[in-house]
Amino acid sequence: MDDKASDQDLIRSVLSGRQEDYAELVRRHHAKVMGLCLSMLGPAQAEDAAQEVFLKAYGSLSEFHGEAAFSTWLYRIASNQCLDMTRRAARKAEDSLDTLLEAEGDRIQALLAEPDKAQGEEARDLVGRVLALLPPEYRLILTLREVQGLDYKELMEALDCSMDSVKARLRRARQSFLEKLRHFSKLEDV
Amino acid sequence: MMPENAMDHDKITEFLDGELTTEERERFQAHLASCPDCRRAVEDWRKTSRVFFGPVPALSSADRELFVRKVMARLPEEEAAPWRWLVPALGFSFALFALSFLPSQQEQTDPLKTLLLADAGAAQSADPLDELVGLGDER
Repeated sequence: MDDKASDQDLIRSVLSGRQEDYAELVRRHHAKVMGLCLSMLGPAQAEDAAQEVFLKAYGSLSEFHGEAAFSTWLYRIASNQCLDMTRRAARKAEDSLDTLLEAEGDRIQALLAEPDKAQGEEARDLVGRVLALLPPEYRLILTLREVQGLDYKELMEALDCSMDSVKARLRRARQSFLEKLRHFSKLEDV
Repeated sequence: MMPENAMDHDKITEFLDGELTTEERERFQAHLASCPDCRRAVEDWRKTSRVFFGPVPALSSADRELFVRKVMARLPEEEAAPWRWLVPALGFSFALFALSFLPSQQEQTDPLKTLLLADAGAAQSADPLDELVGLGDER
């Protein structure tokens, strides 16, 4: 099928038996799904998670009726996948706030002082460990909003909740994160 | 930290997320100019966001194509359209139907029956005129 075909056209084609057209849907939405998985789970687990998301989406394709954008529907599946995997990983979490504070307090403080240095691989690993201190639901909504750039309406659809709930969760997630960061910053910067 | 005695917390959240209307945003910006607590809350979050929620490194198109191939290889086998199984199913039914006649053919090839049938056939094939004129006995 033409690569300019709409998502809806491709979905109809896949459902009518042209399985090969699913490749174009994966190609189009790979960056979004992979981006969310990378932010939530880190590079070691991101690819497996993203593959699972596309396999689950394929299995439920007939349940997609186009009320929301296909990408938002995928975000919903990806969000559930990431939450499941984050919760499983949290049971064997390596870092508590105290251990991270003791082991990496200085580095994190340095990172906060110079935000532009947060792009290297080491810095990203450190960022991931700090983010892992947040409850998975808070981490998810902050990632969807701040990294993936979803607006409130898209967040409602991806997280299957009301507008009020989106606002409340975002506010609480930011507050909770800033409170955790306060432990790393003896300064009054954050 | 979000301020306790400043503007509604939701307004700060909506401002940060770009969800205020133009009018609301202008009003909020005017408020920021005179409220150090709200101003600090906004600055704190923006700085935190830069450190912890930066863009994800872009993946190459080769990585993307490899990913697409991996997903496609893991898809369940395509289900055939309903009419596609009708052809072999009908063929199989026909074969079964044809096979159901085989036992009666075997009966006909029983050697004893074949012999008896052959005799009867020979008797029937004798010329009836020969019998009438008595030539049949002479032979």
